[in-house]
Amino acid sequence: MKSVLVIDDEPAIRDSIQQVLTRFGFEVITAVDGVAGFESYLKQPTDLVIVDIIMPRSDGISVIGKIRSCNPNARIIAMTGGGNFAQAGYKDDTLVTDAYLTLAAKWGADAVMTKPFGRDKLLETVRGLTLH
Amino acid sequence: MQGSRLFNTMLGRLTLLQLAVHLVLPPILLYRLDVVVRSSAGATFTSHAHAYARALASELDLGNVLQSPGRTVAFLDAAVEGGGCQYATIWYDGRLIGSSLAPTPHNVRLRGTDSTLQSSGDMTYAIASDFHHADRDGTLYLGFDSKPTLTQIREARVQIIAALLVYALASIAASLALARMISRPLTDLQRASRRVTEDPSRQIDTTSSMSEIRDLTRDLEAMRRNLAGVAAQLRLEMQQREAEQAERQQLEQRLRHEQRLATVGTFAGGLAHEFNNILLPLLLYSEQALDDIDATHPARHNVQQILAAAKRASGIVSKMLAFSRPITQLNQPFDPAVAVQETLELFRALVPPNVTVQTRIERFEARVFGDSTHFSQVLLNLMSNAVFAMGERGGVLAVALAAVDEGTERRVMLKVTDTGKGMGAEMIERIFEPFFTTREVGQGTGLGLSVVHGIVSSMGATIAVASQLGKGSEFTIIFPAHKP
Repeated sequence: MKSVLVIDDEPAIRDSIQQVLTRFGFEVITAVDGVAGFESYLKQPTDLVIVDIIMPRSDGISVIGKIRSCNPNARIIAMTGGGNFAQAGYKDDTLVTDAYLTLAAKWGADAVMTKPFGRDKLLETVRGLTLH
Repeated sequence: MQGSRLFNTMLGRLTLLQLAVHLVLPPILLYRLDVVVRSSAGATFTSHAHAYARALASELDLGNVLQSPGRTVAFLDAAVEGGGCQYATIWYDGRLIGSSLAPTPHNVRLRGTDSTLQSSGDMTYAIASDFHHADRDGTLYLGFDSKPTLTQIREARVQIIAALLVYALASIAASLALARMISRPLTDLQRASRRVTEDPSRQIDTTSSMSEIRDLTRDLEAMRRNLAGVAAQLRLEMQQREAEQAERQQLEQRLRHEQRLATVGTFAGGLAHEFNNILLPLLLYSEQALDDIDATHPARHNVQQILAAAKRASGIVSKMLAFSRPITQLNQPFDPAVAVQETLELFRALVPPNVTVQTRIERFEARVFGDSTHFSQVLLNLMSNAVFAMGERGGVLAVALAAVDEGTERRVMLKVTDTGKGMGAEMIERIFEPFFTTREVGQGTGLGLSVVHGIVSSMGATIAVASQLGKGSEFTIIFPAHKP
């Protein structure tokens, strides 16, 4: 059974993704923010990490960077609800959804997903990265 | 008031001065000249009379003419004729003997010698001259007619008065003429300078030949030119300042508008982020639930509705994001004419029968750089708004595409015009704001024009709106032409 770590500050997002993936045969661990997520990963590395980019405390980009640095082969999906990231405390308000996802990819995300997405898109992306 | 005004003019003052001089000087002159004439004519007359009397008295001293009364009378007759006398009488030897030619006045011995010429009475100048013959004293009485001399003096006086009058009049006339000669060019100058007040371009000139006036005119003209130059400079500066002010106001207004849109955009972006975080679990939960609910269960339909609503909401939020973020696009040059044609073909099916579509699409070399699907989206949006603005009444929807030159820069202009209900200035100010809509609830999201604005800005183009209530609206987009 493949394991997935879901890091998002929104409980409903964590829960709904967990429900979908559990139903389709994944073991799902959740974390409420970047710091908790990275600690969880260190304790128990998973086959895949789904991480929200905009979160309180440690943000998604730095989580990706940290996970990538301790496991170059980690599989990571970055996701974001888009919008203007200055709202979330990012000083550079020129960074917006697409640019951010591009940046996430550059920093080591294997796939990027724009919220909201349907179940099919989620499963397709997750399966694509956990096949091997 | 009138008097003081007259006194305050140069002509008035010169005239008054002249009058004053001529009221004082001629009477004095007249008096002095009269005295001189009188005294000289009188002196001549009296000295002549006295000399004549002395000569006759010397003759009587010799005594020849006293030898007989007949000789004496003949002597006195000769004296009357020779001296033009009124009378000639002697008192000698206790008797009066007078000329036979002129009667002796009765009071001749009382009168003696007159001290002055008589200008009244019998107009006779009396002289009594003593003589001495044969130890006896006698007196010769002569009366001279002073009338001719007095007439002569009067005539001389009249002539003097006439000459003085002529002189005074001539002098007043001359000074008036002089005053006019001086004051006329001055008045002309005054008029000229008044005209300059009305029209500063009018030259100040004079026809006067007086060098002082010509110099003054030249100085005034130089001053006028200087002032006219300064005034023109000031006018120019004022115009420039006004133009600058207008430009600044326009810029400020645009900036305010852009700032507001940017703020709203930021807000929309933040809102979109929140909504997406809500929509994601909605979608996933609904899909999960649909798996769990029996095909015949009544809740299934409801959950399907929830899923459909969540998907629609996702569509709206993504449009909102199109406004708040620079659009990532397939950037390449494309032929705007082709894009317009394709979009029109797509749109034709949506045009109601009461709307006529007029197109004027020029063919040109210039290309637009960007994503042609975004370009189409902009055009579609504007056309659908135009159709909506014309409502049930219908009208004409015109689409024009042309290459234009702004200075040295080539541009591509896309124009969408309708004959709909038009918009007021307040509405125009807000149409690019997200969620601003004039449509009924459920007929539109109000995101259309904000998306258009976002796309247009991302392509480096500008959009302008002209609208008149009841007449229609015109949207003009100017794209920079692509330089390969």
